[in-house]
Amino acid sequence: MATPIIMPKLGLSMKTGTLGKWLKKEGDSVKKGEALVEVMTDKITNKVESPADGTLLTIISAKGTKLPVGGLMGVLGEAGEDISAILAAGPAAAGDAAPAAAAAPGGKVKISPAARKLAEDNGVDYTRISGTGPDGRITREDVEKAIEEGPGDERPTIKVQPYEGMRKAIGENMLASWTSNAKVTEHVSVDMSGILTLRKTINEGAKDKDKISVTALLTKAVAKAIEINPIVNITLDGDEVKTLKDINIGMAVAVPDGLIVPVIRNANGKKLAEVNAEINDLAKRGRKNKLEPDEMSGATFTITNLGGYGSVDWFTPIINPPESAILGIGRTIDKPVVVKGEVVVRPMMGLSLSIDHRIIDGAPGAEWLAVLIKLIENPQKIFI
Amino acid sequence: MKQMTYAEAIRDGMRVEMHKDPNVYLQGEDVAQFGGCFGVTAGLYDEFGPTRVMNTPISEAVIVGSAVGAALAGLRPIAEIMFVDFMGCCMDELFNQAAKLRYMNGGKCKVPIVVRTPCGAGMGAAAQHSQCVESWFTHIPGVKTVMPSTPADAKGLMIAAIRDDNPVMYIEHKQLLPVPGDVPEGEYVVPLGKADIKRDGSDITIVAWSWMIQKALAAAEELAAKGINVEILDPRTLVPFDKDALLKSVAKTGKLLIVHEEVKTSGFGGEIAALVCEEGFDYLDAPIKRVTAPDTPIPFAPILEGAFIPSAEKIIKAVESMF
Repeated sequence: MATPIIMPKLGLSMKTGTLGKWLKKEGDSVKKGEALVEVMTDKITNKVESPADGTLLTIISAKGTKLPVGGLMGVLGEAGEDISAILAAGPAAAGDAAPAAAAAPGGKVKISPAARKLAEDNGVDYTRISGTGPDGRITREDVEKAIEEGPGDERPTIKVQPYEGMRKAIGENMLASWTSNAKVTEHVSVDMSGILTLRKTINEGAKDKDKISVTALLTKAVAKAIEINPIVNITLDGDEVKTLKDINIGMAVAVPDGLIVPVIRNANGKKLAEVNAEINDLAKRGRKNKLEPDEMSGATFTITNLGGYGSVDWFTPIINPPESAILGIGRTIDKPVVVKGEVVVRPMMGLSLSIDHRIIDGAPGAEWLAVLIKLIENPQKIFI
Repeated sequence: MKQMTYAEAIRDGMRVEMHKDPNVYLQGEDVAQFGGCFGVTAGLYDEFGPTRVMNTPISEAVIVGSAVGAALAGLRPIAEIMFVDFMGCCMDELFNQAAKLRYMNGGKCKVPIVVRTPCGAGMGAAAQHSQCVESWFTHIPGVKTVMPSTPADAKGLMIAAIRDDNPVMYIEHKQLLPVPGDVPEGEYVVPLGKADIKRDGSDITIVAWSWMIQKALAAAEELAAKGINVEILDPRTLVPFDKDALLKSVAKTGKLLIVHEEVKTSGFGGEIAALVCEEGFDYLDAPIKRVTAPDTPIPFAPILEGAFIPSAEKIIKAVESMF
C-alpha cells in the first residue's frame, strides 16, 4: 500500500520545515528505516527515515520547499501502484513557502527555455536564481528580476555553501540579538586552583566515563550563583521584567555546521554527576545532529566556552534572546598573580559576562560575577 | 456588414462563388430540395437549379469520387459529406486520388474540390456522429484543412476554399451553425493559412479552433478577472498553418496552451507543440499544455458527453497550473 512521506513534527514548537537534499531518487527501492530526505528546521537538520520497505514512487516537493508539518514530500509504495488519492491531497505547501532554488530531482536546475535563453544572453548565472514558477521553475520574470538586481559577488571561490537551515537560523538569531538588546560585557580572570584541585580529588579512581569535567563544575557554579543572585536569570516580556524560577543552563556546543545550544534543565537542583552525564550526552548527540528540538529550547542563561582552544582569554558573547545574559569562558593558563603580597603562579581563567543593559545594569552584573568568582575560587560552597 | 448565422455565412460564401463561376456546383446527400441535413444549403437548389445543386446516392465514395472526376474535367465541385465521421467511406478517393493526382501528373491537372462536412460533439449524436478528426486530413500532403470558428471566417474561408486549386477539407462545427455574427457582404475572402487573433493578451497564448474558440473566450473572460490576460489565436486553417503568427504570439506571452476537441493522442495539438518546440523553444517560459477530449469514443449519455468535451473550466484550470 502506498504511504505518503510527510513533513515530520520534530518538536513541540515546530510548525514548518524546509526540505534539504533528497538522499534517494524516484524509483529507488528503499528499506524501512533508510534515510530518504533531509529536513531542516531553524534548529536542526534531520534525516527522514523510510516508514516502510518499498519504492520511492515520486518526489513531490523539491529541495528548498517549505512545508507545514504533515505536508506531502513524496510517496512510497510499490512500482506501478495507484497513488492518485495521495497525490490528490496535494503537497499542502505552506502559504508563505519560500521560493527555493529549483533543483529538480537529479540535481538539474529547473528553468524554462525562455528564462535560460534570457539568462545566457545577459550573462546571468541562473543557478543562483530562485524560481517562482510551478514546482520552483525559474521563469523569464525571475531572470528579468535578477538582471535588474545586477550580478552578485563574482570573485573566484574555492567553496560555496548555501546560507540556509541552521547556518541561516544562527545568523538571523545573532543579528536579531545584536540589534535588539543593549549588550555590555564585563571581563574578569578567576583563579581555577580550587576547581582543578576539587576535580582531581573527585575523579581519583573514577572510570573515564564517570570523570567530572570542568564544564560540569562550572555549570554547577553558575547555577548556584544564579540561585544566590538571580539578577541574570531574567527576561523582558513586553512591559514586564520577569525573574524566572527555573534555572535552565544552555551549553553552546560547536558542531560541524555551526552551533547548537542544548539545555540542562534545573541545573541547580541536579547532582554534579547528573549534570556531568547530561552534558556529555547532550554534547555527544548534538554533534551527531541527534537532538530533539525540545532539548535545545527553554534555556534561561547560557554558557559559551572557548577555553578548550587555548587561544582566547576574553571575548564578547552575544546574548541568546529571550535570555538576558550569557557567560563566556576563556582558556585557563598559568599566570603570575599576587596572593597575600606574594607573586605566585596560578591557573587563571577568563570570564566574560554579557548582559542586556536594558534590564541589567553594570553594577548588578558585577555583583553577580563577584558571587560566581567566590564560588569558583571556593568550590565547596557550590554544594552547600 | 450583415448579421447572419454561421450556417448562412457558409451558404453565402457558396452562393457568391456559384454566381461568379459557373463551374462551381454542389453535390451531396439531400443537399437539393431538402437543403441538407443541417439546412446549410437551403434555397440554393431554387436559386441555381438541378445542374448546380445535385442530390447523390447514399455513398460517400460516389460523392467524393465523382467530385474528383469532375474537378479533373474542369469543374469546381463542392461535395457535402453529412458527418465528418463518414469520411472513412471515401478516404481512398480523398487521400489516394484527390490529394495526389496533381503531384503525380507533374501539375498538368488540378483537383479543385471542396469537401464540406460538419464535425463535433454536444448534440447527443453518440460515437459515430460527433467526432472531430481533423488530424486525419492534416496528415495528408496535398489536402488543405479549414476549420472556421465565426460566421465571417466561415464565409471568407469558403470563398478561398472554392477558389483554391487543391482539395480542401472544409469542416464546419455543428454547434456553431446557428451562431450569429457580422459578415461582410459580397466577395469577402479570408486567405487560407492566415491566423486570426480572436483576443489580444499578454500572459499566455491559447491556440484553439472551431467551437473551442468559444470555450477559450469564455475561459479568458474569467481568467481576466483573476489577472491573467489571455491571448487567443485561431489558426482558422490547420493546413496551411500560420506558424509565424503562432510563434509571434508565443514569443510575446512565453506560454502556450493548445485546446482542441479531437482526442489527445495524435491530435493536431501535438503537431503544434512540436512546431513550437522546434522553432520557438527559447520563447517558452513554461511547459506547453493541452486541453483536449480524452482518448475514448464519444459517450452517448449526455452527462458523459459533457465531461468528454473540453470545457472553459478545464481550460481555466490548465492555464492556472502554468503560473
